Amino acid sequence: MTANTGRTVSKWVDFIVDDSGGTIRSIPVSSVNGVGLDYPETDMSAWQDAIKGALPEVPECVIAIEGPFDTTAAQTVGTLSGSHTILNGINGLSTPLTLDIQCGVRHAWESGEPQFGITSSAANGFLCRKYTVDLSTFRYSAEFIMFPGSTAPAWGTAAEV
Amino acid sequence: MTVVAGRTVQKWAHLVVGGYDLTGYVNQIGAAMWEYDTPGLMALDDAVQGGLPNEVTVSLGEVRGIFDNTATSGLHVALAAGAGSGYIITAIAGMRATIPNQVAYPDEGAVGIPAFCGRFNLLQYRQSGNDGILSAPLKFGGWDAGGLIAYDQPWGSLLVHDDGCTLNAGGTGIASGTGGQTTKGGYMVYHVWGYSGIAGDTATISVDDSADNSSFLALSGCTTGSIDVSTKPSGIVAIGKTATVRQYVRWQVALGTASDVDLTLSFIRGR
Repeated sequence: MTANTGRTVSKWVDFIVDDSGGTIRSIPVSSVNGVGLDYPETDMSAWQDAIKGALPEVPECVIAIEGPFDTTAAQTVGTLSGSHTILNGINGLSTPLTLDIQCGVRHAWESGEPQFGITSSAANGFLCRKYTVDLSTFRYSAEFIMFPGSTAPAWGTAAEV
Repeated sequence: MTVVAGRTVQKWAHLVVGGYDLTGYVNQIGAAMWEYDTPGLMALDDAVQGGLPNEVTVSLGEVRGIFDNTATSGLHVALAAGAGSGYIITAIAGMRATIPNQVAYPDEGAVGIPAFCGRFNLLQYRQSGNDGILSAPLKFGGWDAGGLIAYDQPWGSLLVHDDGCTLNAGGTGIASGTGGQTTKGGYMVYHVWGYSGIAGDTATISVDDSADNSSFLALSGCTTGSIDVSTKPSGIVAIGKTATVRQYVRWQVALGTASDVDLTLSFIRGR
């Protein structure tokens, strides 16, 4: 199949992250807080200005996800691994992680369709800082932040590897 | 019976608190919180803001208990006098089935059942009468500073949750997630919630490890030593941070004067 263009729905989104051994895995998600960079803004206005002005600062990129607790063994990317299997191994580690949110357009994601993320290296990537399981619903919430000094993740159309 | 992997719901969960199996006395378990502070470490010329994991908060949150004064095991008996104290806790994520009978079928281990463990402060035990129900909400706080350990991860593997445990002679073990031995230690969390014998009877609770899931030896240092099992003991035993733990681990009981013990035992590998 070829890459599609146009609109799509969440069923075609794949959330991919490194496991503790550095192998990318797909994990089940049911909510992603928003994908992209968030630039805080500083007000630069002076009294004498005709219109208020501002400048963007260094962006943030915090990815918060939710989904079902799942103990399925690690699988090849593209097939869902257990969320617990993967997140339990990476939460709190200080090794940068590859993260790739692939937005398939009306079918499973293919190269050429939008994705957001970063391929990890020794100094670039995401870190997992939270993995909490609500034991009354057996749903998890997790949060990813950037490794300090990392290059920024970006939108693209080629998979992070 | 093989434990299934995948997803589950609360009806298969179990909660053991301070030597009491409270599964039959609670109807909602809180959030198993595991969250790191991440102080910002941004430099002026960074492309994006970043941080590193620092101190970690681990907690169980609020548990909705059912007010019950059943002798020796009820929630009221277990916790009424305990607010303000730290409790050893094991929350078991049963996987869409009852936990396999480890005593009758020791070679069909509880493989793949996660356990969330810790020592948390009980901040509130308050009988509540709303909606015509006499409940007893339990509010757990952070890790008890009177019982800190050198490990920062709360999720491990359940080794056994069963009554009538005696010498585990033929049981198989739980494999490490990495498929081999690990060299970063670990800790065990135990609760003895019943026993056969008389007051003051003893047993030793420990963990065995093995390279081949057949020939097991005691994991050095991972033992309670001989303890009085008549007092519903619970605790955490941590081994050295660089200790070798072979690929498979299993539960073990060496009976002293007790005839058997009702035991919940989990092991968390260091990383």
